[in-house]
Amino acid sequence: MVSSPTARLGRIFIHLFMLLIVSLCIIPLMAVFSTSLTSESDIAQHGYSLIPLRPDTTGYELVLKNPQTLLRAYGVSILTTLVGTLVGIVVGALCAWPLSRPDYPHRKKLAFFVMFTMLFNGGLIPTYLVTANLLQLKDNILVLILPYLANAWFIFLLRTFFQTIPMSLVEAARIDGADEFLTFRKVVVPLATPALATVALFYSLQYWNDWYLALLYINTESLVPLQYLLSRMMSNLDFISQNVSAMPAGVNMSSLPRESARMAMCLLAIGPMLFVFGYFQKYFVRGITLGAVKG
Amino acid sequence: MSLPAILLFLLFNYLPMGGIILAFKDFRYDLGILASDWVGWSNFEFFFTSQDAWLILRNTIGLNLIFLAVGLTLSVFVALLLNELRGNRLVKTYQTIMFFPYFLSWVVVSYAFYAFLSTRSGILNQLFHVLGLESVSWYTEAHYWPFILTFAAVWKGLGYWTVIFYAALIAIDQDYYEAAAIDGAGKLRVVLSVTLPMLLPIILVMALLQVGRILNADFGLFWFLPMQVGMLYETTQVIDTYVYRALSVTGDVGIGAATSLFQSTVGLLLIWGANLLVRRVHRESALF
Amino acid sequence: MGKHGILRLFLAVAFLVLGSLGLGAQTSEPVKLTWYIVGSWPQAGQEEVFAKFNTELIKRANIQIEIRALGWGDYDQKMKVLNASGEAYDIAFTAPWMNNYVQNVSKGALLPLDDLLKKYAPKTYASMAAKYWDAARIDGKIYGVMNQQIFARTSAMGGRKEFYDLAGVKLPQYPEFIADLKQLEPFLKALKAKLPANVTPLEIQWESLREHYGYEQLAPGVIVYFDDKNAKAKSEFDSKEFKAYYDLIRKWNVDGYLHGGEWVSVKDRAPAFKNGEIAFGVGGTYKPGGDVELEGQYGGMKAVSIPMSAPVATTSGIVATMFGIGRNSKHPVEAMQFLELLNTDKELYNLINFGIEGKHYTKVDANYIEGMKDSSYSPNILWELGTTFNAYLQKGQPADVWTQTKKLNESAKASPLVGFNFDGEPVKKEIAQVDAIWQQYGRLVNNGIGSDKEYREILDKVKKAGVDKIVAEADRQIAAWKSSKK
Repeated sequence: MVSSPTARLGRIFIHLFMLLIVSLCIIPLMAVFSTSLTSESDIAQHGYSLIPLRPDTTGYELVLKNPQTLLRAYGVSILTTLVGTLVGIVVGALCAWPLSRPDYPHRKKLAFFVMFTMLFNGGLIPTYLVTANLLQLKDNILVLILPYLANAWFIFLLRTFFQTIPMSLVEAARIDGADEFLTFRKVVVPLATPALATVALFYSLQYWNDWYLALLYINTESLVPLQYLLSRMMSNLDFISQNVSAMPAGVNMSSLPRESARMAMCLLAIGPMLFVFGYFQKYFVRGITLGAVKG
Repeated sequence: MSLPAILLFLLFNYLPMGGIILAFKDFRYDLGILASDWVGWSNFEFFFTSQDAWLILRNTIGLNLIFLAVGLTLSVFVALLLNELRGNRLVKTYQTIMFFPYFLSWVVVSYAFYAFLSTRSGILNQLFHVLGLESVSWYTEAHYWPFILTFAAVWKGLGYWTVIFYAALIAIDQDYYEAAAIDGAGKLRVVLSVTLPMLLPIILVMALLQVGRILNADFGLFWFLPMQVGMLYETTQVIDTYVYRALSVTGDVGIGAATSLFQSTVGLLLIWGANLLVRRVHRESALF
Repeated sequence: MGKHGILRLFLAVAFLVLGSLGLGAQTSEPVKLTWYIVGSWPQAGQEEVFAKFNTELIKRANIQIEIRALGWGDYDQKMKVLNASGEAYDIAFTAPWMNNYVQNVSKGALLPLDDLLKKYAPKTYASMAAKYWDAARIDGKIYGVMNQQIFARTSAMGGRKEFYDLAGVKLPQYPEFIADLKQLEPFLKALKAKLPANVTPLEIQWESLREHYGYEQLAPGVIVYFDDKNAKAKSEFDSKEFKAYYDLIRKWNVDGYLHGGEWVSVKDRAPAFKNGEIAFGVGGTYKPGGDVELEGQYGGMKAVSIPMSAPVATTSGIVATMFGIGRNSKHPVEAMQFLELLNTDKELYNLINFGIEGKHYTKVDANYIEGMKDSSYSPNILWELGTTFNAYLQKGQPADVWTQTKKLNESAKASPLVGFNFDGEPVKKEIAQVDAIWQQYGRLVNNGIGSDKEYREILDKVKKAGVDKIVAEADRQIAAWKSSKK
């Protein structure tokens, strides 16, 4: 393709604009990174900065002092994210497909049923009663996976993507003698690859970032995921600084993890997801063009 | 086909919904949910009799609407730009970097923002100092916060939303573009007459779903970012933080259940109304 | 008789034999308890310490304990869920400020302990005077076992000794105290003049000065003065003390003694003290040997602590840290037996608090220990896990620190309301609203950056939030409590 000078100029402007956006996204992260490498006394003296003036690795040393805990938490997080994403995308897609089909008779009812869960919830205590007492899922790795498998928001997202698939292709497949599942696999999956990849990415983020399920249902240290390790560190400090006047004397604040350690932990927790993101990006290009299927 | 999802929804969402009756109960641990006393509407009074109820409602709805408008516009715009660059190696890099903020939890974001906004040691005030400007006490002046909160909300979600719209753009059949190109349409015309209409369904669905949550604030954003500084409540207090603070004093489950029932009911009415509207304009995009 | 005796002997031998063969298992199977505690958990070395704790425990009683140690930020929320869902746990930490004791009792989360205490923890029961136990009573019954320690509350301020010496102005030492905040002015003036410009002389909080101003807070915005024989509830903010404080702090801010708007965000308070960016802080309570404990807060520097009131015994000071037994506990008897051990067995107490000798601390002599540098186990919650009077002494603490503490407890003037626990349930909406107002304005007041306008706003809002209703409810409950005591 030969591009005209105006088009080239346009592209340069787009790049400049994107550069602005991207730097806005990266600068705060640099602050986090720089804090993870700065000692508290340096922050007190010189303030925060984007580039560590005198790199100090104590934060990382503190966090890595106990590698078993960290590795185990990585293990739990990776496992729940993998299984959750794989099963979740199947559950979500299978629910979204009929919702996207104008010929599905209970479409409206099902859509309402799904949408309702986005608005109403039973609240913490009833949910806990069902999950912990009725389903007996406490201290079970499944409790970190099952509650998030069906997600109304993801299902609607998928449904909207599926709606762009022309019905003619579906009917053509049916005439060829394919049943519902085969049609889904042969027609929908290849055509909706970017959509499925997007939602799979969202599933994996949801699982990777969650700490709340662990807070409620996990008592065994060996089942603690990475984000709960992080959130525990954060909330310990938060609580003490907020409630210091209410607490009995002699709460020793010196034992709290320093800021650099907390930021180091945070960076260690997001690291793997950057790779995952790159992996999903592969699918953000069109798998098969419509024309190929039509032919 | 939808059976697994239906079962999961029944177990983890619908079954606990029985607990909504807590909104009308004076919950006692030893009596349990069913045997606790009914108290009528008194749990709802808490929020509505509060002196700041209007202020809090204004903050919740107003900020949510701003987040929605700015967030949607910007992410659609960025997705369109990225679409123009399709095939360029940098697109992947842009997307990845835009996603960075989404990986950070709000607690961590609050630390990152603090590094910029802290009065004493913040990067912004250091910069102001170099430029010879007065330093700003960001954490005591409420009027800056609608901007800071909007920036944070949009900033954190930009990558996420952009990916959605970008994925939708890829799915648009090349044939349409080719047809438009043959007609001799300019870039802008193509965007306006081909791309945007194709994006409309997904934009509508996203907007619809967000409208239903207009009274539900993103708790982490409002709780952590303003560092719970009371002087900022005028612009940072929202329903969720207000109720959470009350619950930590009274420990009352009923008040929480009542408020969330109120939020959900309003959400349902709004979604229902908006859905009717959408059905008129764009039938296929309606939720139900 | 003789026949029976032989029969019994025979049975006993039979049981012993069977037991050792593992057949009479019902007696040898240890009872498993769950114990919820709060602190800077998890500690890297906790698994090892908890395991050792269990092996020691089984030597003393047929009890095993699963310790569920939760972090500061998680504990309250998790206990609410557990209590509300009726989960069966045995022992949990409860206090007015964490896993709220009165709420737990009024909502039915805890078991009454009077009989269990007398029967299964007689030593612990006898170790504290009746007036202390009365503090834990709600409607006449005890629902929590206090961890013995400093019960008296004494407003105090603390800071680095080097700053104190630098100022060169003498402040009163225990048992003398700062009776009027204005007494501090020469000291602050000297500090301001001599400290480097980037060090703030003082950080102060209205909430930490209750004993100094001579009252006890029953609920947000509602107080009773110690010297009020009739114990009449009053509005906290509509008082001459609050007005005086409000104006004085404003003046101090103008004089440059405070940090003004700069530190309004609390996030960096702890490091600010540690790094010496704030010289003195008002807060906590004065206690014998407290200087040593403060050192941790000031980055290991020598610290001083100055009393700002006479010691007072209040309900909330006495019940500041307790253990309750869960309503659905399957083993309340063993739970109480465990609490008795925790409060009487020095070895167990020191194990759970300091860890393992040679690994987490070293013994300097019979009584003194020194923590290892970068120890993998230092929860630092002596006040939570049993009787502090059983604790090893840490370097720098006076040898008779616990005798001194007991003496201070005894010397404390008792509030007229010791033994009264206010139940906020009937006025919870008003309480939540008044509390929200203080959360909104508190830091503005304590930094001295408000004006007359905000002062009037506070009074006005508090009034509208229904503080009078809380006062009336408090008066009603106090009257009922008084008549029940007669």
